[in-house]
Amino acid sequence: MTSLLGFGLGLRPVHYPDILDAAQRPRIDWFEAITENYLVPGGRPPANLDRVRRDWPVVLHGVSLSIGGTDPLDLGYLAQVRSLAQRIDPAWISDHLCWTGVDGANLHDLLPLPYREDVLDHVVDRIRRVQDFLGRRLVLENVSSYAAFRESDLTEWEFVSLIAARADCDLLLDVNNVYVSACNHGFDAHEYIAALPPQRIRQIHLAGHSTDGDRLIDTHDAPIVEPVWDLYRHTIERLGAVPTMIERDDHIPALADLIAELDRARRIAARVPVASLAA
Amino acid sequence: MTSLATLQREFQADVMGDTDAATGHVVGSSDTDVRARLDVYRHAYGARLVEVLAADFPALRGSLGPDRFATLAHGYVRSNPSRHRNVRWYGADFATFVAGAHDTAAGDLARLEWMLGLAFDAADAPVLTHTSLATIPPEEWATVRLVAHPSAQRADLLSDTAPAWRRIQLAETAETIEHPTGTTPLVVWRKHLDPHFRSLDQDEAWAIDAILRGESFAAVCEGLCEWHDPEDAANRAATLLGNWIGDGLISSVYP
Repeated sequence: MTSLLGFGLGLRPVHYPDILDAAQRPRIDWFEAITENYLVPGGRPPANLDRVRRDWPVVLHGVSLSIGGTDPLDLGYLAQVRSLAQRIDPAWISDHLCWTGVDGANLHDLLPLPYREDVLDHVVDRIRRVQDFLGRRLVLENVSSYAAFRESDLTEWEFVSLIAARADCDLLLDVNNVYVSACNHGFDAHEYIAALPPQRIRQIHLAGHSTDGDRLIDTHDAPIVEPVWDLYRHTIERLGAVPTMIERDDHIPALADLIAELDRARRIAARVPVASLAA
Repeated sequence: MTSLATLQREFQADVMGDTDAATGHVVGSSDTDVRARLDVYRHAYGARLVEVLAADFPALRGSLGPDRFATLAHGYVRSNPSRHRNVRWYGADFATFVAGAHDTAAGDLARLEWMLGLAFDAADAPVLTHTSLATIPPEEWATVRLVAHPSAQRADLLSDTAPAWRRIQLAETAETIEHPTGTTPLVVWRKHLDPHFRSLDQDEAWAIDAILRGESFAAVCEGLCEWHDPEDAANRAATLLGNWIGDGLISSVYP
């Protein structure tokens, strides 16, 4: 497994020319590739990923593991992920702490779980089996949500922390998702982040969102907003230099604009007092 | 306590718009608030899959216009819950749906676009060159079989399908598909990482079909006698083979 530090971007096909054919290497330390985009037989997607991988570290970020689902784990899918990982040697493999469908259907969304003990046991067991299959620790991301369940006994941050401890997995902290869910459910984003185990957090996501009436929607279609930058600063002060990347999936701007946004994350991290960095 | 599987089934049915089954499970300040929260997921579900179809079928969308395309796509989403882990394959049955729900011309345009997509990320394979072809001993040509590139696909589509696709690419505006009665054979494949297609004469279409079926080159030559006398058939086969090699349609030969 390769190590990884610094500031990355989500690898999006629209940026391939600026990444692969640029006269000067863009100021990006690593890329996060959506796993499923490269689980195709061949052609340009895997060829481009291989070219990127020759020059940059890469992490794989899946969207369809459905680790919280109740259908059996899809071993065919996991075999494909394992094979892709063997080819490109990602620094780590991440997916989301959620479910995506049941009874063979896939809603292609990151759906919320009820936070309670029996669900903890269920998800922990599945994470362990996936980790055994892949031969590596999983990195799981907190999702943004719009609905919370009546039959939840734990807070989301208690649930996420217990999952990491019991399954011995790592966490991808999406700061924008914490902010979006905090606004949608009325909890304190700082309390959430303070409760997470710092040693488990391998990566941070930043992204923009949109507003729909009373709710924030995690659309990844806009620049990062000021309150999320503030929360990121708070997070870095607590955690130290965690590899950070920006996700953008709609209204994707020029690569230079995203690099400028990434530079802001660099500046924030650079200003964090060394004494406050986690060991 | 509701089991996780039951909760997920009811939540999924709600997201798909079949029922309001999830409302009893969700926290909210009022019934309206609960419904609004669940509607975020319900609306995102339809919008996301329609967006996927629009990305996979841009020429059809250009041909029908965004409104008619969205109506068709929402119809497909309602009747075709995704069974695919990778959303890449969600549109696999869209061309058939479009042919039934709209008309054959639109269905054929969708079929061409899906084939181009399949060619785009079909399995990689080497491409046979004229040089390597020349190394095959003459006596082996009686039994040799040609292996088509994994991206190679054949279809007979309404004759205006390919011209309409090209017009839409050039104009990037809504374009009506004409409805001629006949069909034109096409081959779709990938060359230098990009999907290509071209129209075929009937004899070449038959010959490519024969290769895709795994028939020997000798059988292809023999079959071409349906269109040509025996001597011309051999020459025609040689010409076609030369074109296919130049196009990168053939991956390998085996005895």
